[in-house]
Amino acid sequence: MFNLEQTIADWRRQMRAAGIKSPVPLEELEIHLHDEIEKQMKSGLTELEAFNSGVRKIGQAHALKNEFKKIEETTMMNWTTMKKIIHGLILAVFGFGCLFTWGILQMAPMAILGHPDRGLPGFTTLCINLRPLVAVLPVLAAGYCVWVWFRKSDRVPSWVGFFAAAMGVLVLVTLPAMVAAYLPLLDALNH
Amino acid sequence: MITRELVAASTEPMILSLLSGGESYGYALIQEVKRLSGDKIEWADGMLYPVLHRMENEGWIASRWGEAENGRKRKYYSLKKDGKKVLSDQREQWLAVSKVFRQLWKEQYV
Repeated sequence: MFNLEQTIADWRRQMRAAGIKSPVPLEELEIHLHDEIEKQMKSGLTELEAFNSGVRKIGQAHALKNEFKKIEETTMMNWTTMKKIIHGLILAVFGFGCLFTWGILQMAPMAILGHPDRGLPGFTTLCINLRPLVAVLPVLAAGYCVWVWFRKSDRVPSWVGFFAAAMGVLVLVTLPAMVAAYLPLLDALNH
Repeated sequence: MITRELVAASTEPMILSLLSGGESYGYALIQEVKRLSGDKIEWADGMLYPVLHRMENEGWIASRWGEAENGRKRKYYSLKKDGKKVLSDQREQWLAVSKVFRQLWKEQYV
């Protein structure tokens, strides 16, 4: 005895086994099959004949899978490009932040201009001596981005991790630099 | 019957044109094209859905799940603003091609 619902469930399993795993297209195809069977039965075919005709019209699972795969690949490619662009933007913000920090440290000794006897606070001197590090950090970040942009693999590392690391480092570098620039100013005001 | 290449080339503008008349679903789109072409254009049923999904990814059409008269779930597609623009561009191109053919065949056969 032919059981239409059971046969459709079997067809669905076959489609899934052939690689159409995403639920949306499979559900749509099944609804389409139901519509086609309904129409064929109204024109006089039996359930079995209508089912066979509908399945034939929908086509081979393998061919359908290839078509859906092409779309997934395009979507994936767009997202990959987007992630690379986001990496670039984070690098730009990070680079600008480092330049800003460099500028602050560059200006710190100006507070004692005309008063060479006063000297800079120890912390400020330490930060000024560590200034080359501020130049090295964007170079390292740029190196990482170049690796992300030009690596052969389709998988681009998450931009969230890069964003968190870049902003964390920026805060750790900029805050002490601001304190280091503020200390000689405070010293000058006290005198 | 119309060749597979021509059918493939005209699928997107036809879908956009059909959806410009209001939202619709896969099965109805196929039936409508079949009716309008006098059974000369027959889309491979299953192949329509990858095309619809691609057009949705492009941002030309939108989709929503709804309920059919028979209570069954159904995915309805509608035209988006970008889709209208693409349709307008494609319409111009097809009309230009059609105009050339009309002129050529008018000169040859009339």
